[in-house]
Amino acid sequence: MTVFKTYFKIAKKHMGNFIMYTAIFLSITMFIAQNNINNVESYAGSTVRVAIFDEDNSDLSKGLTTYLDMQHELVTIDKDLDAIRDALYIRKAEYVITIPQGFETAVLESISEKNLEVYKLPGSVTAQFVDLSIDTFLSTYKAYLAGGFSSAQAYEKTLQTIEAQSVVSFYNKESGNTFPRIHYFYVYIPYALISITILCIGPMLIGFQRTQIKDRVNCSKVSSLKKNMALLSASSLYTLVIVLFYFIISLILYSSDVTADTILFRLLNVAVQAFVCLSFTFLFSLLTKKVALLSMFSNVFGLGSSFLCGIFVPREYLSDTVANIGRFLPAYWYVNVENAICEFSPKVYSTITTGYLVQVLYGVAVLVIALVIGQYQRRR
Amino acid sequence: MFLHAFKYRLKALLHQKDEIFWNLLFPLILGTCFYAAFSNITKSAETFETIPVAVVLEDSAKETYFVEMMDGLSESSGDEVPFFATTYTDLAQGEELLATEKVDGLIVLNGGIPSLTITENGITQTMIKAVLDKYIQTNAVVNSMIPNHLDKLEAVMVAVTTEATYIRTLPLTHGNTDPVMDYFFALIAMSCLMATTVGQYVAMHIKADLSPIGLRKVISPANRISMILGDMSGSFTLSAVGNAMLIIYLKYILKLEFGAGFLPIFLVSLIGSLMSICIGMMVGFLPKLGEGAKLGINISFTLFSSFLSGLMASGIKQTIERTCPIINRINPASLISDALYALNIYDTYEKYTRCLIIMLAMSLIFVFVSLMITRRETYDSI
Repeated sequence: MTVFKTYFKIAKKHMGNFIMYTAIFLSITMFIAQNNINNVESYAGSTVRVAIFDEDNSDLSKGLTTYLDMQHELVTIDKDLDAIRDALYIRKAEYVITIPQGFETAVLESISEKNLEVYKLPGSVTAQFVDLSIDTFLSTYKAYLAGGFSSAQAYEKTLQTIEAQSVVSFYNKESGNTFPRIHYFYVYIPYALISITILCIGPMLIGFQRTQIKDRVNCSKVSSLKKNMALLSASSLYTLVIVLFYFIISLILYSSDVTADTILFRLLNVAVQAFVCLSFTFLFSLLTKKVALLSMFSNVFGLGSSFLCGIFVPREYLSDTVANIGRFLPAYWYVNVENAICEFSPKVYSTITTGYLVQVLYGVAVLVIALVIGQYQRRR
Repeated sequence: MFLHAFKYRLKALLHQKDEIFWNLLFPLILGTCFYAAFSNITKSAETFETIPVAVVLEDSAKETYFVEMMDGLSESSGDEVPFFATTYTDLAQGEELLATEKVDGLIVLNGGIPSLTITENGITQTMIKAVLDKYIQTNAVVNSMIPNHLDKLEAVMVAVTTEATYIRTLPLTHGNTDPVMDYFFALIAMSCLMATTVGQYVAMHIKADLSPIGLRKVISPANRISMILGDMSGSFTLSAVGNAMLIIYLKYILKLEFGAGFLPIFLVSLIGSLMSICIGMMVGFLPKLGEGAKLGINISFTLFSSFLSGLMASGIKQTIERTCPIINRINPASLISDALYALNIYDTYEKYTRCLIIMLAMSLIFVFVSLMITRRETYDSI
């Protein structure tokens, strides 16, 4: 009990750091979750963001602009080359067209010197798509010109013609993979949990590794196992507070997405993941006596897991090799469970239970290793 | 005294083998994780790849023009990949191919009019539709000529079948337009910012009330500023070596395209490390805070600053640029990643130089504040 009580005395001293880390990681989680929701919406579209600078101001250039506006999404950017580069880099615009002065005359006279000047992302699907759109519009327009129509008539007929479109139907249409907003919050929790447990609980455990405190505890009648169990239960209580804090925040922020059957599965998933993080914290705290090194472990483990397990980068974008490497990390199984909860049905029960089980086994294995190292260090 | 402090700082740092090892290795591990996670992302999301389609012809004799068009689009021209990979099949097998995702779209010609069946709505499917629309529209143009303008039909046919290009593609940049590079820029920024913890110890090792080394140092008659500068330079050297290793690893071993040579990138990391040491030092000098609290501040600052520059999610820096650009002008990690971005994308060095100047100015301010905190500090007798 003495160890247990001392733990919380130390915890009280570290309260400032605890609040600081929790606030920072909570804001990072919320910010990224929000950002990801926006990203997913923009991915779903099948139009390209096109910026047009019309220097020709002719019927044809206006017609082309109207046509591209119908097919794609027109965006406004600055005309300066560096601004165009910025816009293309961040994909604010994916295709930038300058219609030069004299373009209409050049098309009418079939001169190719006044072609559209285009900046695009080399080799991209968006570039191919807008190339195709421009080609469709202009070749139809030129066909009407060849048919003896005047420029204005040709443009009018072109607009009529492009209304003729092919019929599209869906084969076995499945509902799109839209996740509720709460999913994006929960999917980022492992990063916050790994960082907070290592950065907040790690330094306290390191405190107990200091030679003087260690010697003092060792010379008492408390066995090493009992001491470690006291530390473990105190840390578990501490971790539980973090888990409940995140849980309550999610209930407040995403109350509309909360359903009774899924929320408890989510809570259990976070709790299991927190147990794994705690085991790793135990292990790391035995491997180093320096708090600065702990922060490095937390960064490598937290960021590494987040990038390899499908937290920061959606899993469908990871190559098979990376996804397979990710399997060796506990966060991979957390994300598996979280994804399964989103399509909640009896057929995903096995995925959920497997996910829980693997995480628990992971946690126990790491904890046993930590306890063995602890025993070994004591004997030394 | 400067050289003495420099030498012993370096020696002391080199003795902390575990710290050195992790300081040097940690950015390389993260760089490898990033590389692994991102190796596929732009390719799978953005690069144009030949679209597999299945075509079901009802009466191939009537549909020769359509078959010609599809065959034309399925051939590769020059170094470009073909637009379509076409499989001619019957309806049952076509549906099977579609269901098993072997093709992105199933085109069925009925009375010469193509219709498209898809399983999901994405940009590839929209592009298949765009090609079919073009076919239908060309037919419409030709058909509209037949009643009244039969004499012009040949000219129209020539116009629709001649491949003319109306587009002149201008070179965008010599650099790398893959937005994934933002993560690597932010990683270099974080690697620089990690020097804040080293900077903290420079401060703590010069204050008698914060460490035994500080106690020993302040009783010596040496000039305090040259001691601080010597200590700083020692820490700076180690940080510079770490950054050089990271840049070499990313640029020459992982072969990431930074759009610039080693030296200008290294210069950014040098100034970034200098700024970070100054930040850490200032935090280290803050009165009435314990070592743990200061370490906490430095670690949180490093993480949050890196987060704002896009380490955990790209696009954050751009969101900030739209809503509150001043943060990007003063956030250390954003300044470092902006300088690297400017090197990559622009031809001029205007933005690059601006970022470096702001970083140097900030370093000076931090040093000035540190000196203000410590100047004329004396210790009371006990």
